[in-house]
Amino acid sequence: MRFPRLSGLKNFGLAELMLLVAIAILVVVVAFPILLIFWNAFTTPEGKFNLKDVITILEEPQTYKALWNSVVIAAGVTVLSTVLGVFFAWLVTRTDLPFKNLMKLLFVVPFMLPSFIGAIAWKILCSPRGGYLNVFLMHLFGLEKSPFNIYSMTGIIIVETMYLFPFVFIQVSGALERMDPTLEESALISGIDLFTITRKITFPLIKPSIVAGALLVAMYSLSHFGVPSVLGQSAGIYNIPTLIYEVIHASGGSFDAIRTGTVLASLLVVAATIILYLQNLVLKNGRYQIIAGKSMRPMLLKLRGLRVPMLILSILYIAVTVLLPTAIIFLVGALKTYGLPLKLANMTLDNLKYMFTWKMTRDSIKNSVLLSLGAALVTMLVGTMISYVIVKVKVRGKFILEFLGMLPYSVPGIVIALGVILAWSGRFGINLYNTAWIIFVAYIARYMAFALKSTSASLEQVHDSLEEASRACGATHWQALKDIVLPLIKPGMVSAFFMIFLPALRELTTSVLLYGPTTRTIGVAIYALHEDGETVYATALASIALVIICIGEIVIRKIGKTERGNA
Amino acid sequence: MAQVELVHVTKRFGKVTAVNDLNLKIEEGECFSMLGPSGCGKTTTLRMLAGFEDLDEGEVIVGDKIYSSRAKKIYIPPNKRNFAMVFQAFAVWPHMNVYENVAFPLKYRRLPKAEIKERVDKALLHTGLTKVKESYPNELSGGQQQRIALARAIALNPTLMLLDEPLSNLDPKLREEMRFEIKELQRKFNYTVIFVTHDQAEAMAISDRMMIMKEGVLQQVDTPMNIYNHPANKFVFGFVGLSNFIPVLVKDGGAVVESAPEAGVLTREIPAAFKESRATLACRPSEIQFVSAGEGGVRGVVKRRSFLGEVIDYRIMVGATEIRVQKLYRQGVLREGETCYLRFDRLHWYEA
Repeated sequence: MRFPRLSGLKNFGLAELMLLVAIAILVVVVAFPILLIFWNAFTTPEGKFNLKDVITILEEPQTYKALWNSVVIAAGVTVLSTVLGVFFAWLVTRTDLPFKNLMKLLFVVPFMLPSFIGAIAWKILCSPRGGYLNVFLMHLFGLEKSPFNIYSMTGIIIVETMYLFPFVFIQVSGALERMDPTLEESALISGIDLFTITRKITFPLIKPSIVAGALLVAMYSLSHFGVPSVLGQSAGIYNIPTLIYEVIHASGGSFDAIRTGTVLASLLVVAATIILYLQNLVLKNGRYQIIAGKSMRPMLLKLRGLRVPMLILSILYIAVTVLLPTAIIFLVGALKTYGLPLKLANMTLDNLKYMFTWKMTRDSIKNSVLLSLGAALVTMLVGTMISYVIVKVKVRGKFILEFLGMLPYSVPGIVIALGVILAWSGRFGINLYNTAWIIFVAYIARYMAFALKSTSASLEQVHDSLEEASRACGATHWQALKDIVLPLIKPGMVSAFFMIFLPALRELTTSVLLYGPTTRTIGVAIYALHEDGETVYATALASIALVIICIGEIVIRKIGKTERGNA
Repeated sequence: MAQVELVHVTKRFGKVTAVNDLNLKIEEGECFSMLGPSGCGKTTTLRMLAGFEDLDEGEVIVGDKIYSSRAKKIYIPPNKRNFAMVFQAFAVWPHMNVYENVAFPLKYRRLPKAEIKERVDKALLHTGLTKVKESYPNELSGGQQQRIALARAIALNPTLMLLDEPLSNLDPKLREEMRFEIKELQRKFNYTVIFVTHDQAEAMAISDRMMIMKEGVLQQVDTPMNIYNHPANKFVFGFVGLSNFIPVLVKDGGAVVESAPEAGVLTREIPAAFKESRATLACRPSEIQFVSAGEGGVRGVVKRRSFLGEVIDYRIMVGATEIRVQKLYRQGVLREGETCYLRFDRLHWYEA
């Protein structure tokens, strides 16, 4: 799209202006805070380059222990998630498993559960002292010791896997569904058996999707705060994000603490960047055209005798990973006192009511809803504009924007929070610390990547000729934009809104570093209640959060359906 | 011994009957086409032959052996049939080079290495791929990719070769070229080939015999020439070649155009079944002649004339009925708006 030149300026038109505004927004919101982290990590307060202190921090046992833990957890979660994700994806797309469509939906449900709420549930179930599941099993089998200890690396890996494995599942089942079935049929008719086809044709062709999903899991796990924080602290297990939180919190914002935090955060950014680079490499080298021309059902492996056992296995998996923790949250949330047996006589609705009357929890619900709505709306609109410049406007210097747009992908939530503290705590004239605005700014930085991805994808589908056709019919630029482009990308914008709104609603990692006395989010409130030993209130608030999330997911599905119906 | 026989074959998808009571015999070494509009059941028939779909009723017999039979509970899976199939979307494996693509199925038959190499080399030679055998499919053109699929089929030395619209993804010029190559290969190796297409010209060019299907029901099986000259019904006439359908009345022993009885008589040879009734007359645009005013043709006016190169395509209005006529350029040219007289050489009578 060509834009008119503004009169008076030779080489500066509307396009250049849009580019500059877009760059400015991304720099201020995203790039600047991240740069400050590196700056803080590598300089002394006087602004001199300082590598010695960085090395000192890296040499401290707590740092390399945390780094080691991060790597071990990420490796374990990645391997486990990949195995589970690929297996279940194959099961629902390539076999005659009963109720496949329902199962496909259910396997994605763990995605919607906030993982730290899941971790709290598992703590209640499997803590070595008095976890409900442990007590139950000890009674059942007359054991002397608790069978499970959730406060361990294994516990953290297993619980994280439960909530991260859908990354692999979604990638791989998508690839298997879109794959041209004749690639397998042609092997079958050539006399090759299904098992060999799966090994030699199907898996090599979906390998890029498997690797992409696995690396995504690795990246999330490496920078994951919720599960290690809930399950690791009492056993003294820290990973990098929980160590950052610990250091910042314990010190009350001293320079040394902040610098330790920024050095650790730099480590995370470097690790995430390497993973993203690897992912791009894999996707670039291994992307075959395997998408089907016409849609046909693929050959399904007949499970025969294994059909029912596989169904039971799948249902059991979902029951254990989704139903059991959700149920325990609701049940414990209704208990009169924590520790009582889970009987109806011990239950009450007062806890839930109290969540709405107690100022702290009521405020947290209000804060989360307002912050998520606001951040989703603003980020979606700004993201649409930036995407428009990236995808549609012909202007030099766009690569800067593309680079800046990619940046938020590789920056974990805890790093964003740290950067935002550095940037908006009065050092540069604006002090947002302890206000809701600092969380708002952090959300925009954190979720900008989602908005860019979703809106640029839908903008790419609007062919230039559509806009040009309306221009040829006499529409002005703004009319073409308003009447042609915007209506066509509306579904992308709506989905961007929800892709930000829902995660922001259940978010913990960023706000846990940023909240002030009156600006707790739901996530922070649940986390703090749980830390204070108020398990019943924590789970009661968590139940409310789960209900809100559930309603949100249903609304997004409804909207998704009608939007597609109109298209 | 590849005599293919389909006996009372029926296939339903939910409420839709995709193939309805199909009976068919295909001889050994024959090149047989299945032709019809999309959704007519031709591809489903091929997929049942291949074993990708089971039957709801009937039997598929190849040679002396039953391959599918619902009643006898026989179903041989595709990988045990020793057929070969070439797909519309090529279906070459993108992670293997040309040689590996052709050799891969043979390796899993535990053939000796030397034999594999011999068979692959031969298949590549006959499909003109020897020079590119180290290349990967994404480095090759659509035509070359389809040749890989053909080579793979040849190397298998199959009982039966099934082709599912193998040329539809190629551009028109290449399509014509590949048509002859497939025909050449079929003659050379004397394969029994079953070829599915929706392109009637392709089917006619390549096949010894062909069948035409509509909505799951077989319409006609015969040689291309017989089908063209003696279509079994109106649908077949319309589907194979260019066609005119003219609604007529039979009056005083002559057939006249229904919308313009005064324009003249098309023919006085009335089949017994159509005395004193309405009917539809079908004819090819090339089998109509322009005659001069005195010779008793049907009077019409040239509405549109299109120059197509060797031939000129006329749309003639007789009353409210449009009739298409194609004449060689060298046989003289009429102007638009000119009055003309038509003589019909060959007419087919169908129910109105």
